[in-house]
Amino acid sequence: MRACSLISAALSPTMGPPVSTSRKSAARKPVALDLSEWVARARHTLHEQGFIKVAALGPRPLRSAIIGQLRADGFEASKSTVRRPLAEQLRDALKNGTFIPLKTAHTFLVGGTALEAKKAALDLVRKGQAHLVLRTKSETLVPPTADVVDREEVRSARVVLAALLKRLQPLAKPTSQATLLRSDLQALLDEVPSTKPPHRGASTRGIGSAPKPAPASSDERLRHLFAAIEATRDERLGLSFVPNVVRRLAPDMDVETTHALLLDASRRELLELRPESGLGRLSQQDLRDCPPGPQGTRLSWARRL
Amino acid sequence: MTAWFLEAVHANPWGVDFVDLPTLNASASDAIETAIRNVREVARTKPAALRSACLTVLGPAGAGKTHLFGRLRARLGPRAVFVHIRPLVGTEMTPRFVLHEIVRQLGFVSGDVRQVDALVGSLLAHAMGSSAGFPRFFVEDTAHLDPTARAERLEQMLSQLLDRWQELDESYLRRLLAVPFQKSPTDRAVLAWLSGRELDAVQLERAGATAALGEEIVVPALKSLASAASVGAPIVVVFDQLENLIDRDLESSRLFAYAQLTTDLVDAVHGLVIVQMALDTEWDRSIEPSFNLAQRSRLGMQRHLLGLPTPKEREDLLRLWVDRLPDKPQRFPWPFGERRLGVLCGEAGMTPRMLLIALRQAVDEGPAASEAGDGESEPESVADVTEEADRTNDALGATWNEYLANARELLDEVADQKRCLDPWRLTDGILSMLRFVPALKAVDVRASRPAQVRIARGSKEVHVSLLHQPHHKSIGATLTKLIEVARSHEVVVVRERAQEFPPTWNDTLARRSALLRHQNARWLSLERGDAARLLALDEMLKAARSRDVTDHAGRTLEEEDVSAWVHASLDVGSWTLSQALRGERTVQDAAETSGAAAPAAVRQTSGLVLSALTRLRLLSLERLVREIVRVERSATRASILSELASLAHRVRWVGKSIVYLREDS
Repeated sequence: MRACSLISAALSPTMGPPVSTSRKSAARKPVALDLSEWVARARHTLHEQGFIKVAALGPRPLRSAIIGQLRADGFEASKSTVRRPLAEQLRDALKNGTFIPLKTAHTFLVGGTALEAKKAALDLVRKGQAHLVLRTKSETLVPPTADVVDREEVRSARVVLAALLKRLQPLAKPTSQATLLRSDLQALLDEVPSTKPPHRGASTRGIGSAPKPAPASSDERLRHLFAAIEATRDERLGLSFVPNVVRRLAPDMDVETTHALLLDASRRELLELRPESGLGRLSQQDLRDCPPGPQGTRLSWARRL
Repeated sequence: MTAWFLEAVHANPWGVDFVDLPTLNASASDAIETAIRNVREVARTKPAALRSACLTVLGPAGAGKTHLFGRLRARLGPRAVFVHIRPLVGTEMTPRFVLHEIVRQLGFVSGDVRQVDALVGSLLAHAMGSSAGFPRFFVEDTAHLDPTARAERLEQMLSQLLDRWQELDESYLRRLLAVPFQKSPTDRAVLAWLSGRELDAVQLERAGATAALGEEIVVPALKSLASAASVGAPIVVVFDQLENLIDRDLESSRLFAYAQLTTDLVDAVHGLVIVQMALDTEWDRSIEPSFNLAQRSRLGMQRHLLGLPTPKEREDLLRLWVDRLPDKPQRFPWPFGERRLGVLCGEAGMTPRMLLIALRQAVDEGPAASEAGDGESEPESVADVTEEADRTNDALGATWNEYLANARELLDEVADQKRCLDPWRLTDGILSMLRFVPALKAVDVRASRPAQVRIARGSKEVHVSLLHQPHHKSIGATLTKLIEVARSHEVVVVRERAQEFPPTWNDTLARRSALLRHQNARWLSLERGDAARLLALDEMLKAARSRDVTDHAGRTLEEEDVSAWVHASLDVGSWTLSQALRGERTVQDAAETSGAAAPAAVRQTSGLVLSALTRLRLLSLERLVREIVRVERSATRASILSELASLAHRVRWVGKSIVYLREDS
């Protein structure tokens, strides 16, 4: 084996400092690199990991020069870290359709604290590059393309709902035996402002209003379907539970129509329908609301492609 | 006309042959590959900054989670060390368990190289400034050196590693680096010691140790292993089927314990790539919500949701499989017709496993049948329903036999290494068994106690000790503690029949007798068949939880359906261990207390003893028992002794433990 002689030669220094049989004597020698090499190393790390600690940038005397060059490249520097700008990281995360809870925004980023992440998120909202919406109790950052209700509409909805609640107050008394005519309740609910922006030409029904005829064109129905999928999407999982989609569309579309739409969209590779593989958690109603899948499965989850 | 992969509906993480469509879920495998590369790069260039990475891969059953493990093994070969861990259900997973699994799987072959050779070889390669792609070459080169030069080279490499990370455990690493250059029985003993396993006296001597790896060494050992490997072949630990940790009856303590373990690994052990795999929906509904914020921030670093194959990918996948089929009468799309192929490629919710099942059916039934229907006709009459149920039961019976065969294989492997099964495996088996014995209920499990499992039987409590230790001293110590327990509680001691005490262990036998003098104590020699059933039951139930058990048509069966079949078909209540735990008299008791085997058992072993003696001439009684039990699982030590007694005129004894056939017989 001719290569043996080559290999048997002294070990290469690439693995570390010069070989020594004593651990104590093997102190690391400082590696002599010039500024450009330190900057190149930092750029490589930033490219790979998105951030680098200031302490790891290089020898202390060179650090401010390295930081200066990295800033010129467009990187952001804090007291302890140099990183890809947080706003850019947030924009990238939102680009994938991710919903980012404001409280945990820092877990979607690297090299930033919770406070910095929150500040960057609110900056994006101010610049109109993202929306901040309330989902259950948590403030969530969503992409600028998400279908949101504007602040004015929220204000008028609050006014109408508060008035509605006031009118229903007498019925809440334990001594009261009165109720409402269904048509009167409907009339009250119809006063709630539209949930759709008028310029998109969608339905102008109020929250909880009576079923209207199903949208006529298939494109329009698909738009409704995708809006329902978006609205019911689990933020962390990135999937929408099909029974929730069906229920959300129920006033406008019956189950069969929704199933047909889902299957059609899947065939056109606009969305992916996934079989249920949970531990027998579907109720009888859920089972009815999920279209049947191959080999006896139920398609209980949907994902936009 | 069959091909191996048609039978392999469930991916085997250690399968040798492999069919893969690289574009399918490439982003997930690329992300893991990138993490491995990053760990190696940081270990080489900035050792102080070395950390562990944690990725989560989620997907529905059959989407290809376990397949990813095989893909990475095939793609990276010896450039990483792969460890596949299915979670323990009965016992909490500890760092010792993880260390045990990592070192055990270092002995596995991946990419034609034993993983421990890949680890050491890639370190040698890097130390010599070469690529880590051909580690075997460097191991062989070093093996050819004279012992002094080899020791010097290994010492230099060790010294370099210690210069990088001074906190590494020097003596642990020294033993690890020497493994590829040791002869076979010694390297096995050293690997067993490195894994934290308790060794018998002979193995300890081979390993050059005086005692097993202490508890205080376990975490430093893990750190040393992970950091050292990260320079050459980083260790990738894959926790698969995590949904098995979900317990609907109890608090989610097992999940929390798992999260704590992995969090500790991420924090304290540097240089690992941890990959968690689970059913997508269960991760978000049950698994992640049971983690606290600190755990979530560490374990949720990166998450990858596996997608289902697109129509194009489905066609490519089917074509790939069909191309591998031997003796095809026609070209693709055979065995499908155009219509059926279109349905398979266009139908929503199709996973790769479903496609494979459809292909298997089409190959079995032919293209005409495949084209005529979509293979999913609903039963129409009562007779159809009954036939359907029968076929499902047959499929479950076949699945059971597969798990039983795997369990027997494992038991043989363990018997060859002259050791007992790992107690956690047996514990999981016992807990699975208890689900089908209404009179018994598990109270708790603690590996550190002499009787690890506590079981409630009515108002009484039974303490079950799995006596797995190989060394007579630790067995003696455990027996002494059990004598104390037996004063106040009922104790059942379980020891595998294949690892009974040699007759020369006088002190151990005396302690055993002292224990059995207590009315509360009972001894059960676990026969090979009984142990195999426990292991198979546990594996089958875990597979059912992960939606990996299918009926004759490939449809996934619910966990409840599988449990119902076990209940109806396996008669778990009549298993020897179940009888013993209920305090009933077992067949074994009857045979052993009468001092002679039952006539039926004698008939079963008749001829086998003579044949084994003729073949092997001179052997120990223990070996003879093992040989016979391997062939005839109903044979017992008592029945073999009885037959030896009946052959007194043809056999001779040396003391009480060696037996041989007379020359003139």
